Amino acid sequence: MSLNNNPKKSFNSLNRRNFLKAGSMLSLATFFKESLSAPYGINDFLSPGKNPNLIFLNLDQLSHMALSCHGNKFVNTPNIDRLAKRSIDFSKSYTPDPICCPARASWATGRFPSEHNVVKNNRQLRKDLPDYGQWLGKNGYQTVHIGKWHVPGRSLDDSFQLVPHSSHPQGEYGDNLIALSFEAFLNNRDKSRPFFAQIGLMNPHDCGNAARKAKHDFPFEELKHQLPPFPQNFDYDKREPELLKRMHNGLLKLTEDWNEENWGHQAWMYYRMVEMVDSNIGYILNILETSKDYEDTVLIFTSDHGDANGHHRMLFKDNFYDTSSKVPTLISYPKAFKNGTIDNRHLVSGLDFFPTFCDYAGIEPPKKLKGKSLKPIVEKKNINWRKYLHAQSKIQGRMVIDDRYKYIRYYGSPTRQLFDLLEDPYETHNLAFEATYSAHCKRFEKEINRHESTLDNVVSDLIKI
Amino acid sequence: MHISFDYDENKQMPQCNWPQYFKNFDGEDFEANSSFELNYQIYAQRNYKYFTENGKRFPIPQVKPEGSLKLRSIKDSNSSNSKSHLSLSVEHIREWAIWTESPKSSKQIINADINFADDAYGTLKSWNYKYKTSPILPKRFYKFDSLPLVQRNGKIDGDSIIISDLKGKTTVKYQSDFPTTTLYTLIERIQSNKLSSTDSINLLDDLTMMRARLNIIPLKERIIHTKNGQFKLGGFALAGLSSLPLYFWKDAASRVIAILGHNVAYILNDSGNLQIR
Repeated sequence: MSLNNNPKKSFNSLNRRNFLKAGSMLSLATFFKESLSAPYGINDFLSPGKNPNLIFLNLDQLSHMALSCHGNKFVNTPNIDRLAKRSIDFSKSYTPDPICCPARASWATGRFPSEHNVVKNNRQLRKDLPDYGQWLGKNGYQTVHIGKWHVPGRSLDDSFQLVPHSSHPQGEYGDNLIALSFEAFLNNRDKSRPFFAQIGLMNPHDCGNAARKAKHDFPFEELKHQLPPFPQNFDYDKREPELLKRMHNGLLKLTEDWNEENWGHQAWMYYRMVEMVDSNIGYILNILETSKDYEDTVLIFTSDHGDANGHHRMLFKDNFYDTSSKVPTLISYPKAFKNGTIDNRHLVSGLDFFPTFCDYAGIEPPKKLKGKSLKPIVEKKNINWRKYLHAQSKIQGRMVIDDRYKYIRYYGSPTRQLFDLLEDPYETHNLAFEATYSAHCKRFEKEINRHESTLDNVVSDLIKI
Repeated sequence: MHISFDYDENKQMPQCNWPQYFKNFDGEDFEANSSFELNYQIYAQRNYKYFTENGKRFPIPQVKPEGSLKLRSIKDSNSSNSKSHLSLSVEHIREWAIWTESPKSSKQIINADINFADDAYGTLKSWNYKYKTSPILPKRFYKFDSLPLVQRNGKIDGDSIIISDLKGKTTVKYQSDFPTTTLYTLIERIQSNKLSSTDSINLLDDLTMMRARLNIIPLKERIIHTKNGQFKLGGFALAGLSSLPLYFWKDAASRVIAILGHNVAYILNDSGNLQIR
């Protein structure tokens, strides 16, 4: 196996097989001029048919609740539902951090925000951590990124060999292009090696902009029956950590004049954005399913975080309520299984995707990744899985979940939250104030402290107040 | 009623008001049912800037020109099938920037020829299209790669919508019980005063993405005042399940002078009838 960062160097010592591969690369150059700065390795042990293609199809701000296959009657997502039917649908999957940049940097590096330094939007990623584009490219995969990236401090063409299009707001305007760009890539890719494609669709992220419109009366009398009512946890337990409460108060101020129609209007627009991106996903799935690559492609579908969408009288993200921190996560691999199942047992994190890709690729992951490969779960092997799942938020926030409870603390905020997700899935009753649950609180405090001591934190000065 | 969800006469800065771009075509002859060419400028709304007034922050949508749409329709009165079958050629150019203030990085051109029914919705019959996405510039953020040209044919076959490559291999197939229209044919139908309300129509967005079972809803007439004059507007909204609304506004001569929605405004800046020899 030869690994090089520059393909030109790889040509210096070619055996016959590598010579053929190199020839294929050169002919491909008529279509694609691949980045010379992204890692590029020729790996004799890697070949199509033996090592699957990998697609990471990610959305922005899609709540796990906002899918018809998850029981939501106010949204219709036939294409994601179709994917779910042939996927393992992880119903206890959480983002490492419920906001864009920290979550995406955690996907890419397999490390917690306090370790990679992107603890809030637009902070720069640590230079010394490899990302999955670099790692898979270095180990022989053709790597391509299309759409949203949003990992500050890591230039796309240092990570992916092909970057035909990168975009940011607005998904309503740009997501069609992302789907079409994937089609153009798949038709013309280098077929001598497997590919890793990261496809980042924007919708329904820009529901943030919709809030400006939702303050108006809903304009279509004919469609008013489509407006969702208040969610069941619109009235919520106001005993929140002080840092969260400050943010929440800002949202309450923004929406203080809203009536049920305004809240319904906002939710209606959010669901239409979800449906728009569902259509883009349908196109991508169609293209994949009619291609020769379909059977031998592992596809992971997820979102960087969710959206409150009126739950807890809240909008947007950046908090640990399930609407914001719990995300849909589907894994499909038609060559290995055709029928999907719901996995409601394993606690899954966005940190797990990097090691999962490496596991399917048959390559060693980088050292110190904090996630675990999901491949053994997909293959229904008996393994020891994590008992606790951890996540971070707003630099100081920490969340830990076990098979029943969710515990939340923010450094500098005396108030804690404890929810019984089994009895109170909409998180309406903060149990941290009840004496009978003090043992649980102590147990979770101890677990957070234990976990923190295992992290290679680079932002300790920001965390502890 | 707002001209679109995002129009707020009181709070938007002038450069962000869509109507300021409206062109006044008063005095120009236009026969909507003859051969024509329409040219639209596309303005995309990207992100917001904020200003503070009386201690309260207000967002200002950031608006940039990001492309164009040209529609040409040849209506041959001598053609034997002209009464049931119309055609339209399309050139749809869009450009994208990663961020509001950054230079444009990607450009996509869609060229298409569409055959559609002379009915209330411009129902699709068959079409062909090609699209190409290219980098606009090597620039300080990233190096972008060009994508090869993609060419496809489309047709309606019973309740199936089939898109295939030039060898005839199906690449995308949709099932639908409802008529399917497009942005382009809707413009033509509104201009021809043929469009009518419905609660069950599909939009094949960019001739590729299926947005199913939408409503066509008449919009109340309104008068707006701009520096380019007074406009009496009417039109339709395409709204309902599967997509955020699109608003089609036409002037007194039935020209569709604006299509608003999806963070984009298509503003008519040139129109005319074509002389066919």
